[in-house]
Formats: sequence, structure tokens, C-alpha cells
Amino acid sequence: MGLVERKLKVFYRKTKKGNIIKVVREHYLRNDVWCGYEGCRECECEKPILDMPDISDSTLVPEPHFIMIDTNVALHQIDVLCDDSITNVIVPQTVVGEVRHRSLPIYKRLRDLIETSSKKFYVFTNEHHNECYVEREAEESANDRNDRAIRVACWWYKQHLRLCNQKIILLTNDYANRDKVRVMELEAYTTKEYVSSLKNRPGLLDIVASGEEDKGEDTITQRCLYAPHWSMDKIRQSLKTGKLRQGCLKTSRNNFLEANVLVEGLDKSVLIQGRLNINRALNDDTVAVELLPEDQWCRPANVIIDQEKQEEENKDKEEADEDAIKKEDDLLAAGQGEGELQPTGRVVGIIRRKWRQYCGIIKKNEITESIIKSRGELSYEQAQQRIDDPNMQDDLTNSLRNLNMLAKQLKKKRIDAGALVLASMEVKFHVDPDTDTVVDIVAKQHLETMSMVEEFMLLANVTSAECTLKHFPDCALLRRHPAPPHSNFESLLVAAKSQNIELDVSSNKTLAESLNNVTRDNNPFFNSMLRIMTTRCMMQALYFCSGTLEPTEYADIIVHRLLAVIIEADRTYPDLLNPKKLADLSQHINYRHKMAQYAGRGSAVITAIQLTLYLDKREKKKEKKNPTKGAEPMEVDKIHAPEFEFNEKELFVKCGSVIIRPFDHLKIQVTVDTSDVQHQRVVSKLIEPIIPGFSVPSLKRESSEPKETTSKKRKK
Amino acid sequence: MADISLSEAEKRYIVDGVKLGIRVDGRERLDYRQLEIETGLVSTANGSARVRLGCTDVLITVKMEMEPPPPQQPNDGQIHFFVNCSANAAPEFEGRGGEDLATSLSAMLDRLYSSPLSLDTSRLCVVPGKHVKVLYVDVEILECGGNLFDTVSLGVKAALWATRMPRIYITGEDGGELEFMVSDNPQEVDRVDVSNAPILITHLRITENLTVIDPTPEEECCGPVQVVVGVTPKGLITTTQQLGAGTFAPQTLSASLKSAQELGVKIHHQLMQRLLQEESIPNRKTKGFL
Repeated sequence: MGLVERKLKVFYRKTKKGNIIKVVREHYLRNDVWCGYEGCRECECEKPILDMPDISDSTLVPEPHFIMIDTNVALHQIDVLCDDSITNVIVPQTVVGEVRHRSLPIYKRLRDLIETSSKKFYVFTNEHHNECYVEREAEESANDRNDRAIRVACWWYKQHLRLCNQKIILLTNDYANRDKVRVMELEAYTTKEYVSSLKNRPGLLDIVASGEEDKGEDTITQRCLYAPHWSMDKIRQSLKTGKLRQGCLKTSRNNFLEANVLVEGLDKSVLIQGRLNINRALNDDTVAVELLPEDQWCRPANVIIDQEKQEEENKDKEEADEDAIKKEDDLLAAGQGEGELQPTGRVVGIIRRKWRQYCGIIKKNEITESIIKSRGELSYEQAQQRIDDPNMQDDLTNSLRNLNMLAKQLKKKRIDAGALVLASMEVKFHVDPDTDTVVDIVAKQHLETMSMVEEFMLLANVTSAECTLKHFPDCALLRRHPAPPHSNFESLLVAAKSQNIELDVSSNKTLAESLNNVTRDNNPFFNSMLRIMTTRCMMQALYFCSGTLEPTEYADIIVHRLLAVIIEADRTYPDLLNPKKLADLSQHINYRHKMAQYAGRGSAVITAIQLTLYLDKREKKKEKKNPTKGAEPMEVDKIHAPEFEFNEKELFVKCGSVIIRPFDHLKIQVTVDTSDVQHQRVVSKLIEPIIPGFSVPSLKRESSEPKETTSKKRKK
Repeated sequence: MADISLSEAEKRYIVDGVKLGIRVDGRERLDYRQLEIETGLVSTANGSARVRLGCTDVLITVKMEMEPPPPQQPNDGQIHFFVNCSANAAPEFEGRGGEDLATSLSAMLDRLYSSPLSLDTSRLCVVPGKHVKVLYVDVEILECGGNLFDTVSLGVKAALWATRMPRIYITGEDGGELEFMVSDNPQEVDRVDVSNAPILITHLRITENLTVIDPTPEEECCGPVQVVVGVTPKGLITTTQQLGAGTFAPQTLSASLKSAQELGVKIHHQLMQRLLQEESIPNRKTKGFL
């Protein structure tokens, strides 16, 4: 019982200082490492984890069996392992160690699986098992040694389980490993093979990560085709000594495999030929160039080689990178011109990139980092004009039309799910840039292109939210409009009732439908006005952390950080995943947001004042043209204020014989009271319906009507 | 050497015996005592060896470090010797008593390996002017039973033979600096070339023109003077040193040197034979100090 042997693990390591130390570690082998199976009579395991189901789910392996996984399956197929149907899995200690070394998030998930008792994942301590210990042989890499350790562990299990008539299979994605295992008379399958054979889980095959089967580490080094760029220090030193030259790279207009670098001190520019020599430099970059010896100088090619055309031709052929490069070099060589030899060189480093926006590569991830390739800038109107003009059939316009169609479909989906469409009247000022005064006001038209942009923005927001929530179920930062309490709707409902309209506010979908059904023939604005009133009832959007469900711009930054972690472009920091901290943050955000809103409302008042001043000025101008029309506004006799009666239930204001209900037509006079310079106010006075002692006569007798507006409840 | 008090009678007995060709322990004049060597005892060192010659017991370890070379010799590695006479070895080594002996031993070793023909230090160079390998050889005298010089030199050669250094790869130019990288495969090792490493042979002049090889402490009391000769495997003398106050007649001296040469060649040959034999044992478990 206990220790059997002591081994010494010896290896060399280079320290940060540059010293080489010999590390010697003791490694003890034991004879009391158990297999973990409940039904095993040989082992004296106190808490066996593995048990055997009576039937097997797999058509490949008809008997009930255990599964042993290798490192790559643990790393790449962790989602498959998380599925409920995968249980009774043996994880060798070697695999756990390797996973911890290679990927911390996956290691965390693996450990969670192991802790979950229902999953029945058993860690087999094969490194300390005296029959399973494997020493690295000469000519064997560390990875090969680990693979061999896993194979030996699996073989040991097979021998051991034979005594109690149970079976084990090895799950590996490495075809070479799988074949070696089969030679040892063990059963091994790739994840794909195994999952396809499961009878009850057809959907699991989708979760199997598509593979690249492992070809080993060699391909990684092979893929480094381009010469690595020199470090900045080295480039600087070499520039000083004259070994390198600096200049601006200009790609040849008709040949993407050729470029020229204008270098100070040389009359001719330096020619760079071939993709490898251009070494990932782009047009207008400042590059460091090494001149090649004279016997390697070339002539510029006189063929036209178009990059996009080349890609078109070659896109279906799957050829190795080296072959592709060779083809390009042949093309260049074939097109050697007749001119003089030009000094030729190669790019060894890029000193400064020319900043530009480029399209990124779309990875198979649902989200990814990318850069936007800007084709141009269009205003809403310009875009709309393009879409509407049937003569415009260029790529840009057609893609706009496609986007528009997609946007419409997205919108329809949303509406069917119950989205609310609430209108808001917006006016746009045209300001004269010289005098800085308002010259015109127009109502903002709602264009299709605006909806288009809105739909895609919504799509991005929804996708981010879903993604962060999926990956961080308890600390994603989300935003929502909470459902308004019924009390919010009361004023709206009463106002609607006074016009004999019933609105169903039980859900957003029913409300949307009710609003859609409301029209007034004589009043085209009626529906919009009702929607505006509905908007007032809604709750403000609040930020909250999904973990604490507490409501909390800065929010965007947090979401970006979470997304970056998901695509492993960035690492997390502890506060990012702390629900309490995020909740505090949300509260802070909401507070700042409220204060900003108050500031906004204040500025809205200023805007209203501006509007009134403008209207006033316009009228004054007209009056100047028709001096006969000028009439002094009548002073409102405040002393003899008439009696107003306000009926809350049926919602009307009555004064004498005049009854004013919500949505009735009114004429009002809007002025700016500038008596108090520090606190200018907008004053609106009633003109029609005429209430003696209260309403004022109109200033205008003909032409331009004053603006119509809804009457708000006025409590006297 | 150990301070032993011998009476005149005992000394005469020893000396007369030598004249007759028999030493106290039965050896002939030019015989060595039983020699035991084991390498690879100290796993944390790059190389190690333990040598027992009769009662004399020494432990040698070799450690390799990467260091920048001195400006005068930018292309060579270095070897440094450090000797420690443990207080366990002899009562007179208590405190700082063993320092003199230690200093003379390490000076001797330095001289022994100073020639590039003994040890090619240029092969210890990694990046000229920047990184060279420096071998630190530590000698621990565990028990002093006479003839320390020979024992220590044999041990040093064995330890250098057993030294394994990780293979070093020069990685590409990184901003003009050549960086090195260590192979993590423990089987990829470099070794030290000890094919020319010399050993020491000590002659004690016990009486007028007679010398003995490998003297015991008692014999050392009898004779006043010793000569230590450094001999390469090919029989070349690299260094000589006189120990003690005394004289050597010219013939005696030249005879000693000659016999040292012959003996040296034989000893080298046997030593290498044994070391190779030891290495060929698969999965050898060290006996250590048991």
C-alpha cells in the first residue's frame, strides 16, 4: 500500500536573467491509485464515481462503456462534453494538466464538469500510477510523450476492467493517435464518429466543433511564410549604419506583386518584387528596405497582374501557400520587361503604417473583431434618393436596396413579436451659418433609410446582449425598458376614452395593435398625437446587471469588454465578472443619465424659446409689409378671470358654454415673455374657441395659420 | 597532510621495509591502493563524482553557468576550482585549519587545467563576447587518508566526464542580439571533452633515492618531500610541484618523473575503461554513500 518507487524528473530551464538551471524533481509512484469504478472488486476506492449504465446509446459501441478523452478533445470539444448525454468519462491527469497549461477558461469549465456529480467525470491520476508511468524517450517530443501516457492509461483500464467485464473507448481527434491506439487493440473514435453514432442525440452533432484534425505542431511553423519583421531597435541601428534604407512604399498600379520604394539618396526608386519580398507592406507605408546584391537586381515587369482577378481564378483551387507563391513568382518572371535593371530590395520591416480602414476576415464565430471598409458617406436623403432612383444600378445602390429589404424583414419580425412603434414629432432648424440665426424650420421627414439604420443598430444591440448573456449568465450588462405600471397608462386611457377610443395596454403587442387601429378622417395627425402621448407613459431605459437584476454608457464599454473576452481577444479583469460591482456601476450610470436628461430638458426649453422668437420675427416681418394689419395684442384682463370647471372623470374643461376636450382643435398664440431677461419664458394664449375674458384675439387676419397643437389638461 | 605522531622506531620500520621492496600494507613501491569511483551521485549538479582511494574520500561536483566573458578572452569559456577541506575529514581541519591545504589544492588544479590542450575552453563559448559557459568545480574533502592530490585529480576528471550540459541553440537575430535557447529535451545534452584531461601523480621520497607512490599518512610522516606531477593520457607532463621542505637528487627526480609518465598512461587507460563500463549499465542506480 502506498509508495512503490521514486523517479527523478530532470530538465533544464532558462531563467529570466539568462542563466540555465537544472531542475530536478522527485516523482513518486504509487500502487494505490484506483480506477474509480463502483463495481470494481480489485480496487479499494472509498468514493467511486463511475457507474455503468445498462445500455449503450451508441451504435458504434453496442456494449455499455466508459469514455476516456485526450487533450485535444478536452480543449476543442468541451461543448460536446458539457452535453447531458455524455457521462461516465475518465479524464487522465495528463489531460487535466495540459488543459490547464493551454487554456484557463476551458480548464475552468472542465473542472466544473468534474465537480458536477451527475456528469460522473473521474480524474485518473495516471502520472503517479506505477503501472501507467511513462518516461520521455529520446527523439520524443513532450506532446508525443503525453499522448503515449494517455494511450498507456487507456490500455491499463482495458486490462483492469476486463476483470469486471466492462469496456472503455478512447475519444481522440488525432487520426495518428487513433491509429496507434487501434494497434494496441483498443477502441478509439474521433468525436465526430462517436457523436454521429449516438441514437438519442441527433442535435449533438451540430455542437461538435469542426475540425481540423491535428496534424501536429509542424504546420504552425510551416505557415510562417513571410520573413519576420525586424525589431524597431534593429531597424534603427541598421538605418544608422546604412545597411537599410527607409522610404515610402508605392504598390505598382498595374501589378500587385510589385512595388517601388522612394529612398532618399538614390535617383531611382528601389524595386520590390514578389509577395514574400513585399512582406505584408501596404501602399503608402513607411518601410525599411534592404538592398539586394547587384546580381539579384530585376527589371520591372510589364504584365498587368490584378489581385482581385487572381483571387477569382484561384479561389476554387486549394493549393498550398508555397505553391501559390511559386505561381506568382513565375508570373512575375514571365513578365520581365525590357528596361534597365533597377536596384532591387526586400522589405524587412514596417516603420509606420498608413492608417486606413480595411475589412477584416469573417471568422466562423458569431462575433469577431473586424474593421469597417468604408465605401463612402451618404446622408439619409442621399441614400433614399439612390434607392428610389431606378436608373441607379451600381453596386453601392443595389447593396443599399438589399440592406433595405433585409431591414424591412427584420422590422416585420419585430412587429410580429410585439414591438411598439412610437412616433415623435421632431423639427429641424436651418441655421444661417453667417449670422447664426434661424432661417427656416421644417418637420423631420421619416425616411426608409432611417428605419434601415435603426433596424441594424437594434440587431447589433440584441446580438451583443444575447451573446454576453450566453457567455456570462450572471454578469452581463444589459439594458431594457421595464414594463410600465398600469398607473402610467391611466391618463392616456382616460384621454383616449374621451374620444371614444379603447386601448388595450395588457401587453406591448396588444397596445401596438390598438394604436394601429385608431384613425380620424378629419385629422391626419391624430394617430401620431396618440402615439406621442403613449411615449410619455413609457419607462426610461435602465441598465442592469443580469446577475443581480438591479438596474444600473460606460455600459457600452463594459459590453465591449465582455464581448472581447468571449472572442478571446482580451482577458478579463476581476471586476468585470463581479455582479455586485457591475450593479454599483449600473446605478452610477443611471444617476449620471438622469442628470444629463435634466440638462437636456433645460436645453429643450431654450430651443422652444428660440422657436418662438423665430416665429415672432417672421410675423413682425410680415407686419412690416402690411402695416395696416398691425394690431396690438389685447391685454388679458386678469382681474375678471372667468370660471373654469375641470371634469376629471370625463376629462374636459368647461367655461361657460365652451367645452374643451383632449384632441380638440385650438388656436393659440405663442410668445416669449422677455420681461425677466434671466428667465425667459414661452407664453401660450388661447385664441379659439373664444372664451370671453380669457382668450385673446388673433394677431393675424389672413395667411399663415398658427401652429396647431394638442391641448394638454389644464387644471385651474 | 594529517598530523600523525610516529615514533622513530616506527619510522625506521617503514623506511626499511621500503628499502626491501615491501610497504607496511603489503604494496610494492609503485602500487596504488584500491580505487573506487562513482559518478552521477548529485542529481542537481551537471556532473558529479565520488572517489575513494584507500581511506581518502572526496566528492566532486560540476555546475555550469552562463556568464559574459571577461573582455580579454571573449571567445573562451572558463573553469574554476574551489576546494573545501571539511572539518569531518581530519581533526586539524577544524575551523580554518584546512584553508592552506585547500588553497594549494585549488591552485594546483588551476595550473593543471590552465593549458588549452588539457581542456578546450573555446568549445565552451556560446555567443562570442556575450555568453560563455563557465564550469564551477567544487571539491569536498570528506576524509583525509593521505594522497589527496591524486585522488582529487582523478575525481575531477571523472566528474567532468560525467557532466551533462543542455544543448543550446542560438535563436535568430533579435534586434541585432543573438539570443540563445535551451533545449527542453533532457536527452539532448552536450558533454565535456576530457580526452586530454591530466591527472596528478604524487611521489614521496621516503629515503635517499627511493620514492613511493600513493603514500599513506604514516608514510608521509617518514619522508620530508614530495613531488606532484601532472600527466596527460598521452604521457606528457603538464606540471610539477614540490611539496614539503626537502631535496631531490637529480637522478631520483628524473626517475620519478619517468615512472610518473608511465603510470599516468596506465591509470588514464584504466580510468576511462571503468567509466565507460559504468555508463553502459542501463538504469543504473547510484550506490551513493551507503
